[in-house]
Amino acid sequence: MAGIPDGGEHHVIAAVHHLVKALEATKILSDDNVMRTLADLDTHLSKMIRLNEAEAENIREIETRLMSAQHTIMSLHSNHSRIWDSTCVIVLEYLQAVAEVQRLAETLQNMPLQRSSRSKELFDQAHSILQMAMARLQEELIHILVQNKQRFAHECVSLLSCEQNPIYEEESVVPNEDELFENASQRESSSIETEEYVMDLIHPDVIPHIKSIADVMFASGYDQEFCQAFCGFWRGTFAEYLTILDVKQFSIEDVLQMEWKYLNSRIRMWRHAIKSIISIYLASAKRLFNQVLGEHGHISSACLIEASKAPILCLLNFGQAVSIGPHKPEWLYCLLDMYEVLAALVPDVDALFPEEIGSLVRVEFYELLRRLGDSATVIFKELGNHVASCSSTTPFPNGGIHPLTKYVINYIMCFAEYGDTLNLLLQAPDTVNSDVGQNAVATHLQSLTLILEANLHEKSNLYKESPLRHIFLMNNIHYMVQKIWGLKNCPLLWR
Amino acid sequence: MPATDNQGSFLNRISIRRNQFIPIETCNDQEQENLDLLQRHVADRFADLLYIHSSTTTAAVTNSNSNEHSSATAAATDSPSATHDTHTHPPSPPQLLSISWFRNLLDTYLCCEAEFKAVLVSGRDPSQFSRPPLDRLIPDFLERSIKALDICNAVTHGIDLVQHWQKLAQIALTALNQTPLGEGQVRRARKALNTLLTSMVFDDKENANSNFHGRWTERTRSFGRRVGGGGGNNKDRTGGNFRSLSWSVAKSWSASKQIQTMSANLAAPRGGETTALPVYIMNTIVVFVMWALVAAIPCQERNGLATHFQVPRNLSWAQPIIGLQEKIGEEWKKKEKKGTVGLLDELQRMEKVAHSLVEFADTFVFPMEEEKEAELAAQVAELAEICQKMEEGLGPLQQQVREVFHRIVRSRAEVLDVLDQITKMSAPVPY
Repeated sequence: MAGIPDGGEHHVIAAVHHLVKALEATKILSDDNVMRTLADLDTHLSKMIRLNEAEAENIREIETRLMSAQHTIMSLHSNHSRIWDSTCVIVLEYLQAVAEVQRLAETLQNMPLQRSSRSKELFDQAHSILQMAMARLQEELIHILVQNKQRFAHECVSLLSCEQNPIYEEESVVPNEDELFENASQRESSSIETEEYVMDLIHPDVIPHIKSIADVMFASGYDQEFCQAFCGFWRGTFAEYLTILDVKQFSIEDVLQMEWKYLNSRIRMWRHAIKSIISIYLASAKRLFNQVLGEHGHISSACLIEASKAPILCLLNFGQAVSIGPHKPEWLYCLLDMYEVLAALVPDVDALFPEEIGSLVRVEFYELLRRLGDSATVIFKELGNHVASCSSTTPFPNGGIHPLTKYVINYIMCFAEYGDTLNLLLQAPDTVNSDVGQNAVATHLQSLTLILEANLHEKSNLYKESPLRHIFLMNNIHYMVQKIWGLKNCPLLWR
Repeated sequence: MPATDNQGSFLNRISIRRNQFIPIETCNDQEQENLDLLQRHVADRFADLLYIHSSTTTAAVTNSNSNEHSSATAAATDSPSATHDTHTHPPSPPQLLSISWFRNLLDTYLCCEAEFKAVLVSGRDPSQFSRPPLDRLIPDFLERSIKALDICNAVTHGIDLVQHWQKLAQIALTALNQTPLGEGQVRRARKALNTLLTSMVFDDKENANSNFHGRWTERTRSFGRRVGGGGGNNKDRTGGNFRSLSWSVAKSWSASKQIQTMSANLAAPRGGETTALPVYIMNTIVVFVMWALVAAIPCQERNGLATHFQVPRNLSWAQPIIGLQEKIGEEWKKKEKKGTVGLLDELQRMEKVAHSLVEFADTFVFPMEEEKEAELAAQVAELAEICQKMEEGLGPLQQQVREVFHRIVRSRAEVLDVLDQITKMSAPVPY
């Protein structure tokens, strides 16, 4: 009997034993009271039998329902190689059958399940069917994902790759004027495409299908299996995106041994890749994950982090490798470019990798941002020393414009582009006076030009003829003034 | 953010020193004293790591089959080698090569590194960096540290993989913890454990030299064959559970080769070279720590790791390191015979329990005998305990590996800065 626990049952059995013995001992029952009590017992017993019957009836009903659901599931399994490839009716029928089994399993769980009772057998059977259905759902899920993954390689890459076309050649260590201008013009084109762009990573029609699978798997307690299959798929897909974006894997040692020209083109790829991955691919994935798993709390972002951690760390690692490289002046633009790309991604990263669960990736990201900034600052501050150490032993022919003058002026002109970033970087936390920070770049550049002038004077002393000495100085200073004058936004004059 | 920012004083120290002319003799006294202290600290810290091990071995061996694995106090008193058991409540000493042990090891590394940097720089005339032996030793040290960075990256990734395995084990646990246990749940557990074991085999052995995509499909196919995936289509990637290790480093990168080159030309300075010794000590520590990490945590290509580097036996500070090295080396040889997945204690145990649970699931008949039920309960409890340890320890361990990475990067930048200052000081000022 359902309501009586084991202890109660023992009492009843003991009492009945006692009663039977007593009845055996007494042949005649004359007392009305005894008769009445026995009649009571009789009604109790008959009620109990009826209850047992009701329970048996209940179990019989569960059994029929379970058998019918099992039949549906099994026949759909064997008749359709892919259930979600067939009609909506079939899918609905399947989902309903699975939900039915899940409900029955729950009902059975709430009944007392003694060893080898019928209800325990049914309970086991329900769970076996569920397990089979769940394994199947996992396969269906992967199938849907693989079939409906959007192949937008061309679309996306062409959308973003406008800045990639001119991979400019870096012939000498000292960049010439044209290159630097090219560099500046590329920066403009790259700033155009930073708008929000969320795309469909998967065909939008199948998102409800994925969600229906997620819901039924979560309801049956197979949430871990769902996440495992789902994350596994996206982990592989993100890795594919990196391949599409032409990201190659390098060890830090490799990067440090790379030829400058090659490294420069890799850095360009990297900037493009990290921007696309974080602000487009992952932002799109976040939307998709929320559509599918949004109802289940933090699981959505936990899955996204799990699936994207490896490619992100791979990208950040390349950045680290570049940032620890030697501090040569020609690295400055690369480092500043990389810094600016990352700085623009800060809000995205904060949103994608929130709080505790995303802290590892977030910390890595900020660490890289800081290192790039530090390295760029060191190089910027060293420029003066670099210029000062450019000494020559022979006079420059014909008193013309010295390459060093062009070199420094080119740098100054390019700094106009990076003004905000540089000011931010030079505004180190230890500068108490904010006024110094405001025009830190201007102050630095003024001292840079002073160093250049001093160096030119030094060089002019190499001429034996005094008129040539003056012509050399005049030429160079005129060049400087002319170039700076032509600049709309001269960093030397920043206030 | 790792709390390592207090290193800033290091540079200040040298810039102050640069302006003072300290007689070489007093420098040497101070230097010797610092060096002695460094050696003593290194010896003590690694002795702690070794002692922790010797006090638990006996207990660990006898207990490894039962699920009561952590009775630390009992272990210390049972052990014949535990002469220090006057401690009434030692913080449960971690098993050698366990997650907690590695966390201690990395802490030790960070401490030694900070002290080394102080010894290397403070009180030293900066011009020494441009003279023998430092002019040769420092670039060599920096190069070695770059290799260590790559290993840190590979290990970070390896920990991700272990976390992935932990998730699979967690599925099996969820299934086996259901009451009453039925066939469906046993099958569910078996599926998860099979995926786990397959992933362990593939990721540990076949991750050497193939690229990501090739390996992905290859694995998926084998997965289908092995587990019998119910006639699944190969293209479906039911093996979506497998991840790539190769996103951490280049394809041809090999952890064992890396360790090998790191330990090559690692020669102890001949007696009396007080300047060279700290660099040698730090080099040894770096190589040892990286070697131990690679041995324990799944890493790309690590054949022949047992042929480890040699530390001269006469150096007193190196004794505990040598002791640890021998113990881990023995474990590695055992691993190579058995073919287990990595020396990480929790990982080895997980693999063993997973195997026996799969065996149990294969022979599972209903109803279970009482004896079998008890056996199962014990194994489930052990798996639960392992998962718990991984859940608590792997995240912080990974964070520590990153901390080591960033520390190396920062120290390298600082040392390069010092070298830079020196060249500037020696270069003639042209204006």
